[in-house]
Amino acid sequence: MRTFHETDIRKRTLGVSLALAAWFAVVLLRLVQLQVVQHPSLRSRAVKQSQARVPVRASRGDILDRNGRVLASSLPVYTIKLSPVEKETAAQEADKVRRLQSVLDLTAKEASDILQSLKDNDSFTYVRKQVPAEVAASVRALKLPGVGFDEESRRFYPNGALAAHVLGGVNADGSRQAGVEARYNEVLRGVDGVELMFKDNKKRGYLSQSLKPPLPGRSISLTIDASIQYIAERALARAVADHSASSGTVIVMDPASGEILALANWPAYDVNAYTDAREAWLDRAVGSSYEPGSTFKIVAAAAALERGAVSYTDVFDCSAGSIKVGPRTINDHERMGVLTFPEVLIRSSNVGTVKFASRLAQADLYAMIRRFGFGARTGIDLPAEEPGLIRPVAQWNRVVSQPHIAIGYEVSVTALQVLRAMNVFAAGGRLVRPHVFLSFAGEPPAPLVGPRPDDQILDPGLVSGLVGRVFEKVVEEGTAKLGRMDEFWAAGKTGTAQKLDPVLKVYTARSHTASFAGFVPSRRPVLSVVVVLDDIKEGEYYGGQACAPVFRDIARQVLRYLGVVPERAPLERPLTAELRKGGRP
Amino acid sequence: MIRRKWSPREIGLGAALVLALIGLLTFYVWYQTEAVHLGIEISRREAEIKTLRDDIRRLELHKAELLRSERVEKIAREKLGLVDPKPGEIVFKDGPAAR
Repeated sequence: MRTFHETDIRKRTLGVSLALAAWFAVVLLRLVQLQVVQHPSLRSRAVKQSQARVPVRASRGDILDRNGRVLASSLPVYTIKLSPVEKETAAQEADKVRRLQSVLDLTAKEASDILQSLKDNDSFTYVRKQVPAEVAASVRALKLPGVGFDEESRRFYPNGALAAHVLGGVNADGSRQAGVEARYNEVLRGVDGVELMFKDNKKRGYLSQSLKPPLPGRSISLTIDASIQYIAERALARAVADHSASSGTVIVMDPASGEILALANWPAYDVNAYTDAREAWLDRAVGSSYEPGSTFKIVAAAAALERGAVSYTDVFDCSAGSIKVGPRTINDHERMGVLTFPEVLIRSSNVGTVKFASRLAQADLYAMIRRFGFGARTGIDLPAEEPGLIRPVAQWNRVVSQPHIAIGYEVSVTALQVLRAMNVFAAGGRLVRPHVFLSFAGEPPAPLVGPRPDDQILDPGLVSGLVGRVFEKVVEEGTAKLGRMDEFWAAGKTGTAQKLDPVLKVYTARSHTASFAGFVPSRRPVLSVVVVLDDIKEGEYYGGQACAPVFRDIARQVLRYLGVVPERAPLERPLTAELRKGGRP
Repeated sequence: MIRRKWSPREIGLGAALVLALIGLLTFYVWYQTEAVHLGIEISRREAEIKTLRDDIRRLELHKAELLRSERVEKIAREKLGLVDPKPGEIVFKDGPAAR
């Protein structure tokens, strides 16, 4: 029988100690391997499993009208995607896709494409993009394995096509915009943030730490009044339909401040379907120019009066109904006899205008055109504004250019420029800067640019003379008498321009641009309005017949909406006044 | 080999230390678990708040859609039979202004 001696015990103790030391050394080495050698990769794996840097999308600011009505707002939407799940059978996959198909209303082709993608073992496939939260919630409730959700943001325009060209629109991923959405994108979009999300073993987030807080986009208020915008759009759509015009524009502005109350173009588009409406994107009010015709006579008239070239009592013989200018003949729409200077404008005689404009130096006419802001952008805060085209005097034809320019040919202008020019007479001789930005939402209006001394481009005395002696009478008894209102005195100027045939390069009598620019009430203006109808194919094509009634309808409704007290009591039946041929007012 | 005999006081102290250690570890584990649970609860509530805020925005947009001028006019004209007032049918408190 073997007995344990002290030496045996010592040996065994030593052996156990060595074994323990070796085990400890192995553990230590493994620790060094894990904590030192593999530290970076293991740490990143651990961080990946338990933490995630989650981008926090900044919410895009709302766009409101001047009364706080929502014109554009963003809501979260969800893109649903499907990834293959390990050990899932083909039957299970088919069942899963069938269930998704019933909830999301997928077509048979979409369902088969998704199944094919699962068979091909693609890392993921989109099931449906940008679905509303409630639809995403019903899919989530199915608790299907492999189904993931990406939260995105989508722009909604609750008024559909209202103020389409002012708002512009945003595409699905927010990378392309138009209108105010583009002009104020930097302000509206905000700055995205990042947060660190700590996750448990079931990948549920339990703690978030903001690494970079998101800066939400700021909401802005526009000068647009949704009700006035609606009135303008409705009247424009009706006029375009009645005259079979190819396009049309209406702008309504506050004369004193240059605030745009409504800006309507036809054709328009539903802003919610911005990307699908490419053919209607053009904002004709600011981005398309045309030869204005007789509305441009206001420039020649102002220049002639200011330079002392004419007086209100001067008379012009327009009885021939035409005038020879170099190789060309300029006609009136009818023979008018002998007209005073105001009558020339009230009845819109081309012959009379050519005659009084011939008393002006070319440089004086050109200087006045530039003072009215033609040939340069108005500076409105909307993208893609056209400057129009005004050739310098050096490029004018020595004989025909001045007469043509005086009656609104050989120049190219936008509807907004014409409105701004007419508005000079509504604003006591001041040239205002039109704009659509009113304020940041909830803050008092902040004018972008205050009045400058050089905004006063005409003497107030000259302005009130032209308004009282000419532009009021254009509406009361002249070419725009269809724009007359029983309740208010209005002032304005009509325009009808033949269009240049793009193939033959000659002016054609088959295609016209009709326009009317005016303001109301004429002595204390509340509204300035321009109406332009392009390429009229049916009915009367004169500005006074096609556009002046649109002005009247818009002005009457808007003044009523604004609660402006009538200047004169309405009559039982409409008052019509007409000048005898060759008669004097 | 001579083993030292532990006194009851030492055994008690040791047991107390072990118990304290176990208690500390238990508290630590409970604390961590509770922190995670509370974090999950907070995240859930935050998501709920976000959903409710989104619902409010959606309802505001829906309200704006329902108050669209085009729709209101259609209802006023077609369902309620309202028409535009004729000139003279609106009476202003101040009456027509003198020129």
